[in-house]
Amino acid sequence: MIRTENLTKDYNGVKAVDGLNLEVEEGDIFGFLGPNGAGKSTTMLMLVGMIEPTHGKCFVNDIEVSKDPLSVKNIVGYLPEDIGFYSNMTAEENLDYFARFYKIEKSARKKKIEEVLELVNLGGVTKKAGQFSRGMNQRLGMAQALINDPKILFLDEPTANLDPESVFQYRNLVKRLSDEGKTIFIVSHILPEVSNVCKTIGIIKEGKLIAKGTLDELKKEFSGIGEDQKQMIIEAFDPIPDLTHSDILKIKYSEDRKRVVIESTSDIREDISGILLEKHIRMKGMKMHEPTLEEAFLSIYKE
Amino acid sequence: MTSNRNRLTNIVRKEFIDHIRSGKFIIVFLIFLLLSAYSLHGGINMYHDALDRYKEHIERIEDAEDTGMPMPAIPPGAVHIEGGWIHEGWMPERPSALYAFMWMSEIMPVLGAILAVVMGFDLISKERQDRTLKTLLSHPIYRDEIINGKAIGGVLVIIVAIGMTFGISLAMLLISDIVPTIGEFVNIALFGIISVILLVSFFSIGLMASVLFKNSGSSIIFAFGIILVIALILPAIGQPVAGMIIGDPPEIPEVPMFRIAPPPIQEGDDPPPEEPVFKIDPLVEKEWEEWHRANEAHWDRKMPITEAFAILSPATHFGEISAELDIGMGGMMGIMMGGGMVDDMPVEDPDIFDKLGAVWMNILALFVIPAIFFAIAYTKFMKLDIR
Ligand SMILES: Nc1ncnc2c1ncn2[C@@H]1O[C@H](COP(=O)(O)OP(=O)(O)O)[C@@H](O)[C@H]1O
Ligand SMILES: [Mg+2]
Repeated sequence: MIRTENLTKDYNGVKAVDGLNLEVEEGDIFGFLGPNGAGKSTTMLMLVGMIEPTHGKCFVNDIEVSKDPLSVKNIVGYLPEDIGFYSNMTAEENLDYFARFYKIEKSARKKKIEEVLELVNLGGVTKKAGQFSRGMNQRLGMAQALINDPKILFLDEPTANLDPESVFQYRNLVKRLSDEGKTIFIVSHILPEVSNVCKTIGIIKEGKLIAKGTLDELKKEFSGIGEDQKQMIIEAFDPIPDLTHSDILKIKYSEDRKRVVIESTSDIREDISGILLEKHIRMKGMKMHEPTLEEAFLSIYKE
Repeated sequence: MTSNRNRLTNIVRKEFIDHIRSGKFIIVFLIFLLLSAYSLHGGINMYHDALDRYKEHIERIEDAEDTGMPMPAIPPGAVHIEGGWIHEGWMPERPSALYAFMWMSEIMPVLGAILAVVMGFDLISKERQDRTLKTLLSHPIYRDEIINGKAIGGVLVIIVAIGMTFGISLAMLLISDIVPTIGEFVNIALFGIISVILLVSFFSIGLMASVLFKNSGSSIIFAFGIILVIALILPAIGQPVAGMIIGDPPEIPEVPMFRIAPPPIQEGDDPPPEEPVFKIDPLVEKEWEEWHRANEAHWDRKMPITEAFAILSPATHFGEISAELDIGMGGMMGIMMGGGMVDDMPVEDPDIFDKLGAVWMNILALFVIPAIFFAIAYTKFMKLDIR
């Protein structure tokens, strides 16, 4: 659905995007994650035909974007970062202006505008866009991206400026749109934004793709803790004696010995709880430590 | 995908509505209308004065014919009256309805510049500042459609604004019992058309500034700066520069043009004549004729230089054309060329095509000037980094 070939954007000798090869399948919710200045927005701008690549190509729905940007714009919706609207016009008037660039009948257009405004909770708002809060502006941005019922949705930092309630609604909306069959490409520098809704994640740093896969795949790849390595944390009310097990790789006790962290080749929680029960040690809790993408992501930042 | 026409129409439509809903535009346009109406009011009074004088004159001629007295004397040489020049041997002529527009033609370049620049200076810069340009461009449109749409929308508003101004002007004429002839009406209509082009010129400068500057404040200062340079500073320095290149004009002869002949020698007891006798000395006349020729040659050489300095000034061309339409007092050039108008006064009124033909260069320039500024705006806009 989305494909880039050696996509490069050069700004005065500095490569904002550097030989990017990326592929996003139809129906995917793809999260493009990376620190500020990594080249995420630049990539998206090239994908939606707003700027021309210096080298390389990108294809959206098998259309080469720089050769036919208008056809691409027809089938995609784009929410730019820091979106602006005509301050002297209402939400409806703004959307009406944009909607008129598509082949939509007048009555259908009116209906569509009402529908997308409802979707982002701006139905019945008669204020001019100049009086909107940043959150309302952002939500109108989402509505604007949906005005042509796009096949593919490009969202650049979609939750910036949103309050928690709106973030929740936004996530539901993305899932719903995905269920309708839309392909969704989300750019963010905030991990939970991506990990909460995306099926596939790509990580970009200094214009280069350094990893791509599902959430689980990435966790494994970056945490150093994989299928054959587990981490457990055990807490008790009584001091824990030395534990032994053939699968244990590493074990670390706290000062008062009421907490222990075990690294092992398999899940040995059942065995450990048996041992503790035998020794009449009152257990407070025992949990598997799941490596987080947060940790994985941080390790990339630190590099 | 909608057709090119629909996309362009959509932009033009929005731009048009934006202008006429804009508080800035409404205020400046109202001032424009008021001052235009005020200037027309002055012109109408002038017309009525001229008409009164004309009627008085006709009466005197009729009286003279009735009583068999000779025609009333007309002062020797050219005499200036408000609203036009008259000549020796001049027959009174009914004043033209076009007199009424004279003051308007003088203030049009100033008022028009303000109105048109206010319309244009932030068209692109505001969209960049508010980041709406990026939103707009994410929908299926070509970049040139945006700037073309803005240009067309602005021109349409100018046409409507000038149309309203002239509609009101005609109504004022009719209320004041001035009914233009067909010929005068054609001239007024042509004056309206060149007013539109004049405003479009200033609008194109504003639009260009709005592309060159992201900040609307810098844009408006730049636009008025450009207008100041091309319409005032350049034409004004054209004169001294031409003077430096061509040299000083020939010296005016020291002898007076007319000499009072000494009273004839008294013979007998006849009393001396009460009034001195005017008489032109043939030698003196020759000296003056030579000066006159040299002076004309001097101005003829100066003219291309002064004209070159004013070539980018829409106001100058506007002035030249409106003078040819018998409306203006003659642009900078006409005034600088001095009394030329009296000499050039044709006996028969040439038809309107001859008149327009005489100023075809000015007409061409009035079209080329906005084209130049628009081309700069267009080229720069197509290359704009929209991030
Ligand atoms: N117009 C520009 N001129 C020069 N450099 C730019 C321009 N726009 C972006 N950049 C640079 O390109 C790099 C990538 O920017 P961007 O794609 O916006 O990053 P991200 O969206 O990942 O935060 C940054 O280093 C930025 O400074
Ligand atoms: Mg960005």
